[in-house]
Amino acid sequence: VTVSQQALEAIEGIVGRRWVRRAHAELETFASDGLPTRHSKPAAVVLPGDRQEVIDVVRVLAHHGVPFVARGAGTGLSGGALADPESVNVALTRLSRILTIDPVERRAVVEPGVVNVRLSQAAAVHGLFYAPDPSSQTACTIGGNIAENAGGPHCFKYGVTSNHVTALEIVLPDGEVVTLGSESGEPWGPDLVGAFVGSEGMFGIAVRITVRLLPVAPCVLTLLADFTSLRRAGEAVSAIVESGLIPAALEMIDKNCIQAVESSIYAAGYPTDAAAVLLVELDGRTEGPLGEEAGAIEQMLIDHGARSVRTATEAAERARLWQGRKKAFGALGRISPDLVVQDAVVPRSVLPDILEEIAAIAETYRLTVSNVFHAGDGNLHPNLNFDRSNPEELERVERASGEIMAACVRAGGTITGEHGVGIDKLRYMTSIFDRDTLTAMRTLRHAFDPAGISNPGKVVPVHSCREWWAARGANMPAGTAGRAGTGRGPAAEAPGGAEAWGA
Amino acid sequence: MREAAVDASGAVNLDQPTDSLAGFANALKTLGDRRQRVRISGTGGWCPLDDASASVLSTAGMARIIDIRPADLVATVEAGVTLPALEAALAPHGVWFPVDPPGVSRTIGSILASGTSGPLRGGMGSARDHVLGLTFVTGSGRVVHAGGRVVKNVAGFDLTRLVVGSFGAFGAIHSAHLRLRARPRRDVTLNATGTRDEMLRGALAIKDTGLNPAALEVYQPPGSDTWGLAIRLMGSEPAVKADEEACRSSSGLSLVSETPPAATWPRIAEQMVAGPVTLRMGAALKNVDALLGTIDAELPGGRLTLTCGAPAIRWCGAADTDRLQRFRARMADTGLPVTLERAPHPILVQVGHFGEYRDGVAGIVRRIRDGFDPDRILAVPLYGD
Repeated sequence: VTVSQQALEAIEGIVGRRWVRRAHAELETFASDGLPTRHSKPAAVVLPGDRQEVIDVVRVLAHHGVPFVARGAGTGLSGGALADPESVNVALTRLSRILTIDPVERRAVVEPGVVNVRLSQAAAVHGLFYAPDPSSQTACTIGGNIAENAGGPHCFKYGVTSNHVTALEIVLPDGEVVTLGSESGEPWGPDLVGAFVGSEGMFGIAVRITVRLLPVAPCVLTLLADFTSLRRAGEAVSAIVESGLIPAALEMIDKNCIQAVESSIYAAGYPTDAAAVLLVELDGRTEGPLGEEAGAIEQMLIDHGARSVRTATEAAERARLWQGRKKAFGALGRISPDLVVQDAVVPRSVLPDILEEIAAIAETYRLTVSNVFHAGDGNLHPNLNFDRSNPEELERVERASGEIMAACVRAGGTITGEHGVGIDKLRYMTSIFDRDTLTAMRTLRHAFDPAGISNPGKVVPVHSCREWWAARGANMPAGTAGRAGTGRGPAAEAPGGAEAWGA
Repeated sequence: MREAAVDASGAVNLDQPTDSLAGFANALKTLGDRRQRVRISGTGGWCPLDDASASVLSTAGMARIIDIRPADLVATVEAGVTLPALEAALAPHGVWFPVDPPGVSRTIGSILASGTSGPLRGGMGSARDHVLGLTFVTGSGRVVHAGGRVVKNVAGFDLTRLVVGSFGAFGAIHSAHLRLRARPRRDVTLNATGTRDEMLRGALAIKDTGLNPAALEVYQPPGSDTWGLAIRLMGSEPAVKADEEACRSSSGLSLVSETPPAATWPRIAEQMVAGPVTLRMGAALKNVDALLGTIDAELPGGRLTLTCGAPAIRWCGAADTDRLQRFRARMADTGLPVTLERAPHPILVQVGHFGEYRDGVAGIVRRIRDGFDPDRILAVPLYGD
């Protein structure tokens, strides 16, 4: 362990010994997140109890030059919260208070460790809710959602995390505390809240988060349409989106996933012989108009080849339909020891083509792929079942994942829609961004974290920049040759700022 | 394609607007190498080009609509495309760009650089919510392709949001992938006039029902001492009809529907450039009446409009540097940022687009500028002198 005893003792002095984990068995809990292909134990885990302790801990870490990685519930799917043995995990789960809910301004102020679903539960008495609803919402934290710019099924209508955060109090990696944005949403300068959301813990730690709340729609209808053709289901999605009617959610579940769900305890009553089902949710203020919209959508579904359309109006019935969608990953997880939940986005008009291409890739690599995803946004989640103890199969999973990403990029899409880059997708970043754009990202990171100690080595690959430096015959900054892909110390990163653009 | 404003001898011909990305980048780089400060201009109708110390680089030659994909609800356009030109091109495809900035015939580059949107901001989000990706050129002439053209994208840091609303301080926008909406089946505008208090009470009552109109605006109609409430409802026929009834019953106001296309919205947009200074600010609904009173007292003689959904206020009128600085300081004390959107150069350069009222923010912004525009080639007074 390279983190100095002195630093750890200073941290113990702040949070108390019981909130610093150093034993190997304790660290094992923090060695993984939701990404099954990576594993990395931190030097120590600190669990601060309040905002001031976070600030004090970060100041000690900065003083000693110790890299740190903020962590919420550890449900992330890109390895973003993994820390290496030279780094300290700062777990924020104890900062779990909802500080205020203001029903007039429709704002809530929360600490980063608040579990996503708890906020909507607490706001419900005011007839309000917090819109971003990732599938892990019963476990994941708002702080983690900020880091990843999390989405969810209802983001089709209501937007992703970034659309709902108006202000952040952050601790910069040097320990300075800065307030970005304001309650109303108007910023104090350029949109640094927008820059911070989705920065995957590389710009500092958010300790107070102000979010928008929305009025709960009193009327909700959920439609389940089943298709014998995946292509036709994809075409129905485009037809609905183009119609100008805006469902609250528009989700697709394919055959393999339906079968996994229906043979699990999460069975939702999906027809097991369907090639795909679409789950379409509509919400609104009044029953009559909503029913008419549902009728119009039902007709579109039938026109595009739906074999049947079921409409659920009662809360229990709707919950059952959603259970299959929300617990699909759990159901898929039963099939094999491990499951990679992939994440990519394509323009929605190419959904039918890309689903066929993904099926062909899975066949080439002799893997089972199941798709359950946010069809309205073109946000795919191809899931690959495997056993990590079989290195040959793991290799096939990695290669198939790479080909799926390449196919989505060729189709005009991107490598992640809501799970983040983390460690897992560093290698694909150069397939969508050129060197100057990656350097611009590193420049932005440098403005928040000149020392490069907050979650170093994630998101922006350093090797592309290194090649760029070499190609231009310039002197490479010291330490640019990072240990890519495992979560590394700050030495792995070249300095950002003016210098990094080169001569 | 012309290779831009830099000719073979290396002279920058600013009268010959560049029409290519390479030319645009080259012009900026060449100006930068000479430490020649530059302002980017669109149609010139928004902010006066009265900074004698800076050259003007126009985006007029970059006014192509590159691609419209109605099925994906995405359009790719160059910075010099005007909003009316974009609207005309989108209309046949049954799609639109739901941003209604103050001013007339603004270019997309100008709208995005200033991050400005009008009444639709309350119901549909601000300009930055409708941009999927951007190509911009930094002050050192580097070309950056931020974001992409899909509706969800968390690959890398969000340079798009950083640049939208930064008034061009980090780079000059060349083109953008815009997020479109399908045209609603019905688009209705309702109007009422009366005292400010009546309009405010009506608007807040509508909001309290849980209704989220595309726009809910309390404003001062031009040439009148009365106040107006304008409501824009969009959606399916039955939904809009139900919402219309809810607006009438909850507000208790006599709401008149306007024959489409509603003239109210362009009138509000024009009014917000009728004076030399335009500013926007956050608002709180709890004490909005007192807030409007303060604005009246501190910035007399202007016109304002309140976007209830955001909530946000825009003000346009005449005010000098001292008055603006005093007003901004007073608002900052109550937690409300004031952004100076446009003003004559002598005022803008002293007051700045933003005020330094939160510790640490300007430091981060300065470091970002040091990276993107180390020589401060881009003549943008982000913070005042």
